Amino acid sequence: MTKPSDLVQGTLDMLLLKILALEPMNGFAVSQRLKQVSGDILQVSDGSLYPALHKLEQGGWITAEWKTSEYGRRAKYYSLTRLGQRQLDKEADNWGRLSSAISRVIKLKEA
Amino acid sequence: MRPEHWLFTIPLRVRSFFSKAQADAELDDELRDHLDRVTDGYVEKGMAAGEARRRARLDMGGVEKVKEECRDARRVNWMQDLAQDFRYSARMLRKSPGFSAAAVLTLALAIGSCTSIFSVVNAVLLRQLPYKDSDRLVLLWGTGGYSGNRDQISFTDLQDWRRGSQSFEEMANFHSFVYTVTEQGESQRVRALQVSNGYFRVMQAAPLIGRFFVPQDFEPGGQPVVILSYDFWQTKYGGDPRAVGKAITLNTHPFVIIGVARRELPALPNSVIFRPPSQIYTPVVEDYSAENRTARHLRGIGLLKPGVSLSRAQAELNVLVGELQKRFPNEDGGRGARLVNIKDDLVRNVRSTLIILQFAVFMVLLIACANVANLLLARSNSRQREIAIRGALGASRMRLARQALTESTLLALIGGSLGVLLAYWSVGFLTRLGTDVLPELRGVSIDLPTLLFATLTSLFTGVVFGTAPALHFSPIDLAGALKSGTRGIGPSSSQLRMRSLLIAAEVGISVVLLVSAGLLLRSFVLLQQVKPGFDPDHVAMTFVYPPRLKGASIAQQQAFFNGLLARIARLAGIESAGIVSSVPDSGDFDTIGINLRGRPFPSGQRPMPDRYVVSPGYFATLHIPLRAGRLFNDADDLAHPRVIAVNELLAAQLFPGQDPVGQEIQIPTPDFTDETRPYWRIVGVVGDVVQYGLASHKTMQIYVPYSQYECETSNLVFRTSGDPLQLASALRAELQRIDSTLIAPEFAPMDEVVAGSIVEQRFSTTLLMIFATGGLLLAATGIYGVISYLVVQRTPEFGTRVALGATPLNILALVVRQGMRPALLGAIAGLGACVPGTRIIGHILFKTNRLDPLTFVAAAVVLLGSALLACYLPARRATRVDPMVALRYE
Repeated sequence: MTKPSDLVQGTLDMLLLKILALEPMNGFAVSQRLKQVSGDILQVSDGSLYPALHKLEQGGWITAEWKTSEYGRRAKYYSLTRLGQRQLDKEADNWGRLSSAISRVIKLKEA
Repeated sequence: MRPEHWLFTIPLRVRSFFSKAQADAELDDELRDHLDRVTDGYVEKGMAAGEARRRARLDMGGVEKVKEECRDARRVNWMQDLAQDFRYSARMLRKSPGFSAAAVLTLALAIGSCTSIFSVVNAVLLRQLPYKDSDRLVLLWGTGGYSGNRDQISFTDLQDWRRGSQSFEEMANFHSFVYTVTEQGESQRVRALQVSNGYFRVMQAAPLIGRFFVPQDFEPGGQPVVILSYDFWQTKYGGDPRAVGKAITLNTHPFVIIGVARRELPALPNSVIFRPPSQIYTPVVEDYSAENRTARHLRGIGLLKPGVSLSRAQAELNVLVGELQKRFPNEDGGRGARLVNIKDDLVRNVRSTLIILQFAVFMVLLIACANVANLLLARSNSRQREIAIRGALGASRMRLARQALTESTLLALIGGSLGVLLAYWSVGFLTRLGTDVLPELRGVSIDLPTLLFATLTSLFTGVVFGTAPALHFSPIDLAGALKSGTRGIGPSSSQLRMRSLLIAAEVGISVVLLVSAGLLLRSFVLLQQVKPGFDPDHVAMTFVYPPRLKGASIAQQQAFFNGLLARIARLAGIESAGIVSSVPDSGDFDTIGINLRGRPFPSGQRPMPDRYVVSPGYFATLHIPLRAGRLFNDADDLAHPRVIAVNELLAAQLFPGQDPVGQEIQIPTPDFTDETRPYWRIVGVVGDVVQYGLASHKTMQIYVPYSQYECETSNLVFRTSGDPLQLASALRAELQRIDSTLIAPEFAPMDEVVAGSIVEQRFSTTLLMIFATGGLLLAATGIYGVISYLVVQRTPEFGTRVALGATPLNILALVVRQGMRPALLGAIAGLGACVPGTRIIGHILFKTNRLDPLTFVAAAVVLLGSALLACYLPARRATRVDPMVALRYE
């Protein structure tokens, strides 16, 4: 129910940073975008989304401010900080190397 | 984390900590907004509003759980938890006032006594002396002479050392002296420090006004000069700068005031000179000469060069002294020099006492910790249900243990604060009890280091006694605890073990304290039983020496004292009176080097007996017994042969197997050179008198009649039928009539003088007895508490046993055995610990074996007796259990 088993540890943080790098948005929008971009393959429950966002905020990678949303309600908008951008670059880089290494291994097996 | 990171995170942490409520409200808003939108989404898909809301919540999982996880992300939770724990603990303590009061009081007493002893240790052992560069100030003592390793030295000794040594900036002689200041017919006694050239350089002092001594001031026959201390200048001259240049009459001689010392130049400590602090400074007028080499009546002080260690300076001095011994085998044979840092010299006698006392109170503190731990354990037991509920609500084991530790720390801090108040009060008590031992006690206060010590001690105790319950503050069997009755579940076997261990520890520590106190007490009783060699009851002493006798002839001196004694003898209530140059056990003494006729000793190796110049009535007044020959009488004057009396020890050591009466002894006498010194015939042998305090060894003694020998100082001793102090005012008036310059400031009863010689032992014995009693009471109440609790816990079991036919005696034995087994183990362990442990008090014991079996047995019996009583009282309650009541108790 909490963390989907197929979501590699730490990957959620990277995905959230990536999504927020495009534009500042609130928690609901992030959850919608997450479902949308991952094509429902990555099952991230709403229950684990918010603690993850709060952790990123406390870590200083994202920052939040309260704005009036398109519905006319007050909502918390998250945006990436300079530190968060750097962290995202680093993690994306790591991920790229990791995933290409893994796919090479997988291909080797098939050959 | 990188520093730049903190720019973001610190404000967030601060905000989450201080505006917790706002952060929580925002979190609520955020999650509600999310839920609303998800619900809206489901409604748009055609779901009913209620169902949509339910689905939204399901998607989220547990809303409260998500909130808690978000709060955890804030990471300042531990601080909020701590605050919460403290609030909760305070509430719990308020809810059981009896328990809290018992625990806080126990801790307050223990921490309070620990703190007050520490305040003394801090003031006496740790604090710096008020001298400039006091770590470089050293005293120079002679060795190999009369006192062993704190001998006085001569002017010539010091000059030789000063010339040959490279380690010192400067060194100087000093010597305490009393002058009588006469002004317009009124006289006053003034303490002086006679110093050699260089003293003020050693102290690194500059004059406030005028000048300090220059070499010409030390030349014999020059104009006598004096320097005033700041205090004397203030009280006597009202701080008038014109005092410099004025004349002042000291011992009938005119002195010129040449300067005033600054306030920052403190007097030397009391152990080095006699109290009270020096009021004036005069020069030591002596020259460097062969005959002065053995005139060892001065003390030495030096300032080491920066960076020179004491051991290096000592090594250098040893070489120097070795050469001097070879060059002057008669004068310097066997004589050494010893350097001691001034602070170490000051605390030499009290260091071990204070360390022992600090150790003892620390033991009391440990016993108190064990007691409070027991109380907490008992309580954690009856709180099983509460703990179980908190565990069921998701509190982790860690979290519960932390709560337990917070409670104990809170208790310790409250106890500690009360303890500091107690210490404030008890420091006054300590000061009264111990000022004679430690004049520095006057400066004792609860200062910053002491407060810091109290705080650390409190925190330490909090952790120590909190650990045992914390280990048990864990929900082991939630379901069982929740299901059991309101009374709580019985103690687990591991808890029983823990309690037995605490009892054993308490008893063990208590035994160590009792044995130490017992040994000291035994030693002190033995000390008090020492016969001083005279009868001090109904006898008092006072200083009587009119300044005009200085330089008077022996005949004039005799006439004066004869008249004085005759008039005093006529006063009502006086049984007898006598004159003596130095009163035994008063701290005052005179020694001289003697020679026997036909058996001359080399000048460095002469026997050094105590010398008393006395009136014939002195022996009768002090009840000093005559063993052989005769005492003095009025006919023993200058017209008759010179006579002396000696004590038994001198007779036995110098004339073994011979009749001492009729033997002749050469003693240094003014107006005679070494060669022409007359011989004095021994006419009587008297009993030994304890001269240097009850704890000291016997010394050889010589009595000289005041009608044949010059007396430089004198004291009146008188025996009365009643309390000698009742005659004080009549006596004072009579003395004033005899000679207006006679001032008898205080009358000291001889029994107090004698008791005064063992104040140090009294101080440590009294305090250790107090601590040992405190420890014993704590241990007994601790055992009582545990056993009472167990009896209540086991009431149903006892009921069952009684119902099944157990006799009251069976029950009694059962309970007593449970308490006595650990007590016995603890006592054995404690006695075992005493075998090496009493080594630290071994050297302050007087004629007492530190492994004295009687004391060991007595301590064990007292302790086990108290333990037995502490077990018996609750055990008796257990025997009265009515089986019906007990079984229905559930």
